[in-house]
Amino acid sequence: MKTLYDIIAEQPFFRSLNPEYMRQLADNAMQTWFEADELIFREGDVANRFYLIVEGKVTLESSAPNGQPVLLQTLGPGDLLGWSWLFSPYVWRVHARAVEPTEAIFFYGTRLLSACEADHDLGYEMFKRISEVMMHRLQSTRGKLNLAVAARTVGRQARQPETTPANKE
Amino acid sequence: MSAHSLSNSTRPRVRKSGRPDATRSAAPVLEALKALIAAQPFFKGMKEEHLQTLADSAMEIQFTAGQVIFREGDLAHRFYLIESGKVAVEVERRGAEPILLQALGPGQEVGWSWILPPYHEQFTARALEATAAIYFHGTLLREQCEANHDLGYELMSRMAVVMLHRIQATRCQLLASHARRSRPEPA
Repeated sequence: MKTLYDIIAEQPFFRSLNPEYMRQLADNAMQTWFEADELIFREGDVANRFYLIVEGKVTLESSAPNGQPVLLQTLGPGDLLGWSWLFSPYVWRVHARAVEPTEAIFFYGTRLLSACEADHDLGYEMFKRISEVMMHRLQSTRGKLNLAVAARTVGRQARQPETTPANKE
Repeated sequence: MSAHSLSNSTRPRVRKSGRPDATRSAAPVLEALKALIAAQPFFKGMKEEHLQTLADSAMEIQFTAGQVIFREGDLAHRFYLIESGKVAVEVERRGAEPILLQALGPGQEVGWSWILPPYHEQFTARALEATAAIYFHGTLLREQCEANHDLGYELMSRMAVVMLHRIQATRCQLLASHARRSRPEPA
């Protein structure tokens, strides 16, 4: 039977992390499960935790200015879910929802952030790993932006010209 | 300010040493640069020794209105803090006008890709008006971050905040573009 430590040590996110830190992470972690369609966190709520997805699928969503929900990202096994616990004002900026039965590891972010501030070796490792995830999310979001803008341009050309300039804001 | 006028002739390029000519009367200039760096809100709370490391990798620089500071895809080996002026962060588009992601002003930071693989600029930065900035040699600092995790933590955590703001601005644009796309058609 695998221990929580074993499961954590297998996660690509923690690859080649010093075992002492891995243990510290395991001390601030627990396994958790979500049902299909269960809300994991809500935009605007306090962000005190993060997850690593072991099994299943989670979507990140936000709302367009007109209230229409927009899918920002779909996450799966091995993916990190949630970084707002690292950044003031420590509130979620998106909704996260399990779209199928999902197994994850919960990490107590607030406590880890204190540990990072006290031990900069750990802090450097955590920020570096999370920054790499942020870099990938940024690239994916800007890919979606390019597609959305291109689709809008094509749509506009097919219709009659709009009176408002596209890049007004 | 004397520190400003001294840098009028500097060009946006990498110097091997990261310092302006370290001859004769360089000491007061370096002290002024260090004081300028120490006064930046972006570096608030950083230790004296880390501020010194930053100053050793920095120089002042000027950009003219419209000048490209770096372009998407360029090798990322530097970052800037804006002293005065305005800088646009843009998303390039093939055969179309770039998307303005953010307009940054005094005290704000430009360029974070130097700290993370693949070390390529993710956006284009362009001076929207005459701009004075402090240039930092990222490649040099990256090596020092790896060797000294106290410094690494201070810089990595600050750059992560900058990256967060870029992500939020990109999401904002994405959400706005969805709202526009689904706007009811005029009859």
